[in-house]
Amino acid sequence: MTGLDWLLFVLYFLGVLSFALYQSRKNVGVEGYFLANRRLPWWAIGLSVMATQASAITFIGTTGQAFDDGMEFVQFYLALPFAMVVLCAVFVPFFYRARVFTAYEYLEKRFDPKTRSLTGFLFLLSRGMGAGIILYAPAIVLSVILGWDERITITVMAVVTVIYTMIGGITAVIWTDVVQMLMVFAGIAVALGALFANLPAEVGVADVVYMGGIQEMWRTVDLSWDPTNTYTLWSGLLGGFFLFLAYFGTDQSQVQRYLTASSLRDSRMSLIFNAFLKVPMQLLILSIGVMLFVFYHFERPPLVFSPAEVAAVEESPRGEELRSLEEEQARVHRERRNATMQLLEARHREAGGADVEGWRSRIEGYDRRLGELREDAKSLVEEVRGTASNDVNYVFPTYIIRYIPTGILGLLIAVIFAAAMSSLDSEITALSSATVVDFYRRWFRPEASEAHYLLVSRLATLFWGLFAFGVALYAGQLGSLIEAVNQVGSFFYGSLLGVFLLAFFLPRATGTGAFFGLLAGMASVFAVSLTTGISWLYYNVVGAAVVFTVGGLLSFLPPPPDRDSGSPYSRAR
Amino acid sequence: MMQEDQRGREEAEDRRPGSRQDRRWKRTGAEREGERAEDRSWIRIYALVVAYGIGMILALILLTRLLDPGAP
Repeated sequence: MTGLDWLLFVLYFLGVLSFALYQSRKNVGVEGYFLANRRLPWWAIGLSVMATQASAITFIGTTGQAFDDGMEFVQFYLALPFAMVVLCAVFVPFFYRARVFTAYEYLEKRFDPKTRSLTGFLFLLSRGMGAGIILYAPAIVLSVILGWDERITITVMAVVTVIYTMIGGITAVIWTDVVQMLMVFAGIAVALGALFANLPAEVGVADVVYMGGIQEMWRTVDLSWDPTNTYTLWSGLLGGFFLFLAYFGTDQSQVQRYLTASSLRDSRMSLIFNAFLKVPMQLLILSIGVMLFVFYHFERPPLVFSPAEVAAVEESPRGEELRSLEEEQARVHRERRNATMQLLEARHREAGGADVEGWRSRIEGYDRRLGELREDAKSLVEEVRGTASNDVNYVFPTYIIRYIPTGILGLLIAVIFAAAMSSLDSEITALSSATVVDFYRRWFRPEASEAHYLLVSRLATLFWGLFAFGVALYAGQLGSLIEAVNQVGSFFYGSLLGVFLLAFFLPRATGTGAFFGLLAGMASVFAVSLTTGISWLYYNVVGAAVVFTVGGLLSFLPPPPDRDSGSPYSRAR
Repeated sequence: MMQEDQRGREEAEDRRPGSRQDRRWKRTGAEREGERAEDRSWIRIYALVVAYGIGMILALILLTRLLDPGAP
């Protein structure tokens, strides 16, 4: 990083902090701090919803995943438009018209305090951990670029984000999310543009498409029926549908966003906006990974992308093995590069024919060999370090450090930070709102001044920032980050969704049924995860189905005297 | 400070189950009819989103077949 890169980077941080300070003047009371007095426009909320979901993990992990496996990850998002319709038609009106602060507050109105508290607690537990992983992702980037210890970068990130979130509340969070999301869009365009610019002059867009096709990198849809595979169309449509219903419909970090809208129409519009834009955005981000795959046909990539993993092996007695793998990789890559140039020349000359097929089949052989060498190197890393390689998360950062010019590099680094901070700020605001509204104000201090609640809200924001910081320090021991975040959520999400489905669709459902149904749902998900090999995406389906069934059946049992009867809230609608 | 405490007490009262504020959550028949009409006005937008989602899947299946001839 040069002086110009640092300047852009520092300007970004100063800009965000100043903006937060400017916005903090509007925070009067808890409703201002957590719901922006319900007056924000739909497009800002829509961008914030998108920014909250698209963390730095999306930028770093997804591109690395596409580099290794192609575009199939997009199937995960294909159910999102359908989930958004159900959310707009069912979930949003219930929350908005109930005038609640949190999704779990609604459950007390509909069921009882214990159901509210249990769901709120599960949210705090799962998203507190999720916030830590979100914080960890950009720390990887900085550790690669600056050679800093990851713990230092985690500390810097946490401090800046917590300060502006504490000061500005949800208003600052949403408006900074808008800026940060626009930066992410710009970053995607810049990354794709830079990749094209760095290709040899004779390589055009059609060649890139063709080269990606050789290794089936453009394959986006897998129609096979395999419940153990996360990335098939059916896993995406069924598991993804339930995951998105749970994430956007029961996770306070998203519900809080659309509760800040000035009308129900604006709440719905913010989600419809995401229904249209999310999949194309993911396709663009994944195509960066495929472009990287093609780019590295012309430039030699590292055999292992993580500098820390390389250093660990080099310093071990088995360093020589890695060097020998790297030498072979260099030789095979040279041959593949030559074959690639010959293939493209043959294509340009004759557009098909025996020459093209011959070179193509040679390249397939080189690709296979390079893949094997990479796997061997990753196994070596695992044997030396005792933990699986998570090298996939270093693919994109390594590219930008090596090939992106000064100025643009600073911008891209800021974009990765923007992506991380826009998710982290939303998480800690949501965690703080659930802590204060669903626990502190509900159970400990129901009668206090607004100034008191505002102070407690800021302290809760600080607490969750520190909690995320603690989790981030251990996140490195998890595998691919993108899956880790979703896996954590999946243990609880489906069951939480089941409770809300009971509330919305089964008028007879009782608080006791929902409460014990939720416990049964979580137990089922844990049992399924331990005893079967099905993809974690299906955990959401299992959890929701068990809660709905068990909760529904329990609700038909006659209630004990003075329980679940006579409450004006147990038959919502 | 006293005014703030008074306001805090009033708001706590509003949050109490069965309070004036809380009763707003249960709406009259006319209000519900208005809400249903508002909900119905969104049906065409929902249909558009569903059509978009299906179209996206079909386009990606087609794209997979065009760019990866070996795909199943």
